[in-house]
Amino acid sequence: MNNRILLPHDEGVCFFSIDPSMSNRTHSKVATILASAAMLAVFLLQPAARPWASAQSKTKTAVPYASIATDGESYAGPGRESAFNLTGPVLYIGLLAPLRGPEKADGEALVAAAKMALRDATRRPMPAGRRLELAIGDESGPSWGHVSDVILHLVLQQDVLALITSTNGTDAHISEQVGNRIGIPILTLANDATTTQIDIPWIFRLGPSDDLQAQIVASNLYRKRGLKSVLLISDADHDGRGGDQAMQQAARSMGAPPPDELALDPLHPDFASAVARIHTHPPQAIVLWTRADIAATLLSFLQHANIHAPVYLSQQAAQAGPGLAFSPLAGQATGAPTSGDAWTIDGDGQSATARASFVSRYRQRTGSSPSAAAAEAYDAVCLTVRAVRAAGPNRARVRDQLARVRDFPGVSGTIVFDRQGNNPSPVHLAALEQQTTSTVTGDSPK
Amino acid sequence: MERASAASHGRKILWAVGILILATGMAAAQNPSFYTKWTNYTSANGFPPGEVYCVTVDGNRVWAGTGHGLVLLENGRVQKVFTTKDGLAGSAVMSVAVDQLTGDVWIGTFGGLSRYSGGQFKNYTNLTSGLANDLVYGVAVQGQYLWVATTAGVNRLDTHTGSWSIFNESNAPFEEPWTYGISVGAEKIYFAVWGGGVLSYDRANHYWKPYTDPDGEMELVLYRNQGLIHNIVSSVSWNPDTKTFWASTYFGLSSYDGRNWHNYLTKDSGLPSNFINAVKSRGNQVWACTQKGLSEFNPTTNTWVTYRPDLKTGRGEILITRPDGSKRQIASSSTLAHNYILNLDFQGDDLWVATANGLSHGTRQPRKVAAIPR
Repeated sequence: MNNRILLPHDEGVCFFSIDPSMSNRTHSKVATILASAAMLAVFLLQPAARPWASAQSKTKTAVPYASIATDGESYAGPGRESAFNLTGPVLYIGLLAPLRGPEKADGEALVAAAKMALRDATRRPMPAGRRLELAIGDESGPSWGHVSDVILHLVLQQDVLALITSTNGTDAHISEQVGNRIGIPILTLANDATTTQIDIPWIFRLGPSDDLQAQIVASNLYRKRGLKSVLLISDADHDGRGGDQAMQQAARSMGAPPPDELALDPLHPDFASAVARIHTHPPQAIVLWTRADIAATLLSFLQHANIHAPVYLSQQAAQAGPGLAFSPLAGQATGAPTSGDAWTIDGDGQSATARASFVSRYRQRTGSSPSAAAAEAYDAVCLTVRAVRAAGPNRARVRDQLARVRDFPGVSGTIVFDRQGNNPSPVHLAALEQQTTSTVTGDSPK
Repeated sequence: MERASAASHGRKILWAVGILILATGMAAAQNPSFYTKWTNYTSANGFPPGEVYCVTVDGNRVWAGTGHGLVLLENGRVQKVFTTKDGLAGSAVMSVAVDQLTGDVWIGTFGGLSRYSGGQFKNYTNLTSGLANDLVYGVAVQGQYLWVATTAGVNRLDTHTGSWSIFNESNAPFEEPWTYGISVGAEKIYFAVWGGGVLSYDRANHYWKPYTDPDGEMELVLYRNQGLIHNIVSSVSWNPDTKTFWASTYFGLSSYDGRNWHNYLTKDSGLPSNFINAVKSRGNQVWACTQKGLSEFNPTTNTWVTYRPDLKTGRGEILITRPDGSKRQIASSSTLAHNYILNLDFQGDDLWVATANGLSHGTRQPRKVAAIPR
């Protein structure tokens, strides 16, 4: 394999290859001559390499060759004709949620919110006397194979008009890939920005990206509170890695020391070791970018171990895990965190009345406060129903309607979809309330 | 003396090759022939409705994967539409490969993998075999091995022993395991990976090599020919004639000849769209299946020809983009079934094209087309 020397300059990147097998004197001379010739060529051909050109080049603004924002294009695909309409008196909106295992509570929260939304949004009869129902797929399973089969069932057997996916980034990607081939609008609650960093016309992401969340958290940690020692605990999986990268990047962008990292195996999280490490090297604050059940258990461990550093949870971590509930007053709680507090990310701009009504009714039905993801599930269903009213029973036209969403006053915040399907609405830091203390399982923290 | 003679000989060969390339280019420029005769198979003439996801030519047989089963055409006529009732693993067929030695047909579906052999289907699923996942996007035959692109990594089935291997992020440099397509070369197998760029597998040395977007930015391309244009790759095609692989993405087209990368976007090429579902290359032809038509690119002459129904009127049009960027539009009496192109395959000089509204068969005709008045 050739060794490569990278010579960056403002117009491009040059690669010189040096063959390690060229060891004798002749080859060295040839290599020297070739390298000199190449350097000369670069010197002559590239204005940036010429000293007299440097002043000019310094005044240039580096402009990328292309960006999706400016060079992307609108969907020119098929499916808008009435021949592609779904038929039958009942139309389905798909919802992918974990309904078993450690994330059961999160999934049930999404289902409860989605059902509420469907009832609210269909109080007025649907056009042509059609009925809308939820088709719920359980994404919890031992392998991706199971999730794929559930997605296929919803898309191909139940003929859902649109598919709403949970906060699981991997499942959002798999749904996006299927949606892109078959032509199904996907509304995802995942925070994985890579789902919408490409010109795939079928996906819409409601929540804040990992990057945006990390910026808010890091700003509070490093700029507002001036902390230096932060521990980042993340899952050793796709979503955890995404959060990890986002936090590292956010810290870098603020000139702060990178957070210490601790990755937990989401299948067999070693809570005791994590707490022991925190005892040994107490951080000033802890950031959790994990599944909600793992975050909840960790919080319990921390409480039992008398560790009172403020904790910041990603939106996925702050779902309806045991012992956690999203504070309905979070929108007003924007002060600086104090020791022992728990914080997460919430949307801006939601109607206070609509939010209060949603929270109150959700509490009445479920006995607990809704998570940010549950609020987003509610909004996703409302947006889909609205799109179906305008577009009729046609997936491509429903997609077109979703692509036009601007300033939708959701209970999770204002929803605006940009041309890539991101919701770039602002978010802020919000307090978490702990309703009950979950039972600590496994080894006790030392 | 010998060295001087050899150098002179080398120069002569270089001149001869140069003249040959020039002559070929001039001949192509002076006597262009286009695909102007298109026969379309749509729901209007009994073909399954909607998208055709893939097409594979096997002699005078053509296999087309649709959302409603697998269609077999022989000598241009639909012989049979196979569905799950016939034993197919899934109704949405994403890929087909034919084993030229055994005649077995391998079918990748959204529902698992099927083998059609001796008039019978045998199915392989996540639960009943070593298949990594039931979402099968690509299949390719390499000798006794069948390669399968799934959403949970790549499978290799040894058809002699029946043993399965799986390659994913645990044992190969997959940035993501979501594999969309396969292309078999003489020395390497190439894989298109959603979010993971292109991966090559060296058949002799069992060595994996990733090719990813070097700028690390999903939404930006910093420099034109920086490397792979985007990490979400929809398909890959190895061209044995030019020793180049081509990668289609949903944000441009890339090629790599082992030394240099070349990237193409609509703004500086004849591509009609940056959203490319598939690419296929042979000889001097590179065919890009885009959402706004089917494009043929000749890298030697740097000329692009795009075939599609006019996006507004539906009438046939052929768009030619010359090396200097000038464009010419000519009318075609017949055209593809839809402008949204998903896949294609070659039958000699003919084309079989999978579109969003049926299958199209294109034949190159001597030029009998008139320029569309502007």
